[in-house]
Amino acid sequence: MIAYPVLLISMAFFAYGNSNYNTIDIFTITVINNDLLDEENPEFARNETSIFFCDAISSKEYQNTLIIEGINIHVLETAIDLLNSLRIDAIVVINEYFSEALYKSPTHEDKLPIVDIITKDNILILAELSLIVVEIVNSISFNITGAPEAEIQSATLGGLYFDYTLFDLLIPGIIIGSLSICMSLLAIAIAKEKESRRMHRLMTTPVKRRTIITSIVITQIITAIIQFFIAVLLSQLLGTHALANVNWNVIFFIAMLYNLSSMGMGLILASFVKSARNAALISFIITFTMMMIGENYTIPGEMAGSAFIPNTYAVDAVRNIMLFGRIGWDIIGFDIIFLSLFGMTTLIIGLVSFNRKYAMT
Amino acid sequence: MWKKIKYIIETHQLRKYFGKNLKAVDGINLRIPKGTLFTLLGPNGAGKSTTISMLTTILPPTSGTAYISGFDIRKHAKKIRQIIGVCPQELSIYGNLTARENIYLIAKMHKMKKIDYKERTDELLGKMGLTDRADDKVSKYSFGMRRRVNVLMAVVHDPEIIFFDEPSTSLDPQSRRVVWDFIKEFQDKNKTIILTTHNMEEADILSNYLVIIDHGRIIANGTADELKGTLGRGDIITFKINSYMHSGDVIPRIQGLDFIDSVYTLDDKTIELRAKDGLRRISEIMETIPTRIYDLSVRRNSLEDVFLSQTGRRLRD
Repeated sequence: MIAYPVLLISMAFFAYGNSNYNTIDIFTITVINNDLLDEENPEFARNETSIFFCDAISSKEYQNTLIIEGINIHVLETAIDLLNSLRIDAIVVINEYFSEALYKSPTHEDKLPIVDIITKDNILILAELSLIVVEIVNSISFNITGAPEAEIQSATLGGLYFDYTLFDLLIPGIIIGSLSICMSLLAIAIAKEKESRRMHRLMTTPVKRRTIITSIVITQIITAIIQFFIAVLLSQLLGTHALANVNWNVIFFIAMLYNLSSMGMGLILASFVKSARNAALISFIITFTMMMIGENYTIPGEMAGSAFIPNTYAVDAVRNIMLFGRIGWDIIGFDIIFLSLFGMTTLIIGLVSFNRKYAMT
Repeated sequence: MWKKIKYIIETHQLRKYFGKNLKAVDGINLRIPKGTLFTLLGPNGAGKSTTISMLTTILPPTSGTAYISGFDIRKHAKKIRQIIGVCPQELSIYGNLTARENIYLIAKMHKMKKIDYKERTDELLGKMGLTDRADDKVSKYSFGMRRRVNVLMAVVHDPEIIFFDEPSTSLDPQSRRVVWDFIKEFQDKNKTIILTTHNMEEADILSNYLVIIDHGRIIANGTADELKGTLGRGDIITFKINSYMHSGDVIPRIQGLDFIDSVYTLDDKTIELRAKDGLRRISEIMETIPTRIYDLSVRRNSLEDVFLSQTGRRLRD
């Protein structure tokens, strides 16, 4: 019960707790170099650093990561058109006074070298690119004595601002993953009762079979709630940058909706497995597959079949609420509808399957 | 054969098929009077436990009818569960609970009053010799002690009908005797007890009435004495012959004796015969055998012999 969230969150924290992240994805970007437009303060060798920056982006080191679609496009609208038509994944804007700020110009000493990153709506691309660009700018800074570290301002076209590590992005997936495990726990619990014939003994008492099965399900729901709180508390203790005013009630509601699916699938599994060992093995395979296809720990929209997996919708909704405070019906409404329908359907199928095995009265 | 009194259990052509080919129970008719210790005797896989599962409302029958105390097992399952106690063959107990807690659990499920089940549990634990260990976790118990807890959980609510499914399986002789005495006590209280076993001794000692089941069908029924009587009265003598002779050479000589009922071979060197007053006349039998014999034994008819005569094989085969 405790092991899964503690183990996974700890692993994620140690792997991705800081910003040093090597992506395996390739992004097509456009670079807008506003630094070149400034004609003032020539004594600070302005523009050179931004040219270094562009050179770095197109260097061999990043050629497997970044493909430059257009450079020195000075009109943001043109770049946004490219972004909207999905010809590029992101726009990187080197801001005015980037060079001055990097060289600590007296007239700009209160400013940091700023780079903006804009994506259409994919927050994970935003996160990954932020990490890459920070790395590039700082690699330039380190060559300049006393240069400040860059500030990366990330946003989507929808106006979302991003300031998270990959660890933050993994947390919603881990929270939902904790509840996936409850499917295993339920299937194993019922299989153990069947295997030991305790289920037979209980079913020869006057207590209704529905009551017996409900009591086992409720036990697992309590386990799910405890897992949820462990995952949330531990992620907070390890420094997740969730929004200060995040609505945990709605996240809890989403988690419990998802838990309906876990319980339903656990019941379906329990109705046909013969032993607890079988239940453990099969449920592990199902859970693992669902986490992978359901994109608990990867960029949304990349896995084939993710649209049919409840994890996709639960993780998406929790990410939106937890990291971006997006709680509107237009944002998470479909997630809630899908989770409700999927959960109720699997739960009904689970109860019917169980009923067929033991004539339930 | 059946006494015409109210039958507390009555089945008619009760069947349970799993799939198209597996006929676990194939048309069983039972009429069991109240207060009987009724035994279903048969080898593993004969259909005993499946019959019990149907009578205890766990499994719905494929066809046929069954009434427990007048209640239809299909329609009145809840009422039936109020008057039965079931001791499954497996140790269906919670290892992380104490013996007392395990018994309380079942008592609570039967909605017994706290004062009643506490008193009753103490009494039962005492009878099974478990009082000293009653508050230890069952996982620390020996197998025999767990088996006894398994039995107690079936009777805590003082049911009218108690189903014991192989209650003494794998028990040491001492624990087996404790369990048998305990079961007999319920028989004395006019409770109806349904026992399934493949242990002939258990069936012989405990039963008022028994049926022998094989391949889902009843192949013989009656009291133990009646069933053994169907094989004829007399002693059964078994012996082995020397290695250079074959049983075929010996059997015709024995068959010549007028007091011999039957002679047959168990294997090439082992001969078994049934003879009236066989023990007293054993010297006459020995004189007809032209070779040395060894491993000689003499015994009375057993239920094993009944099963053998009906099916051509032994119960434990």
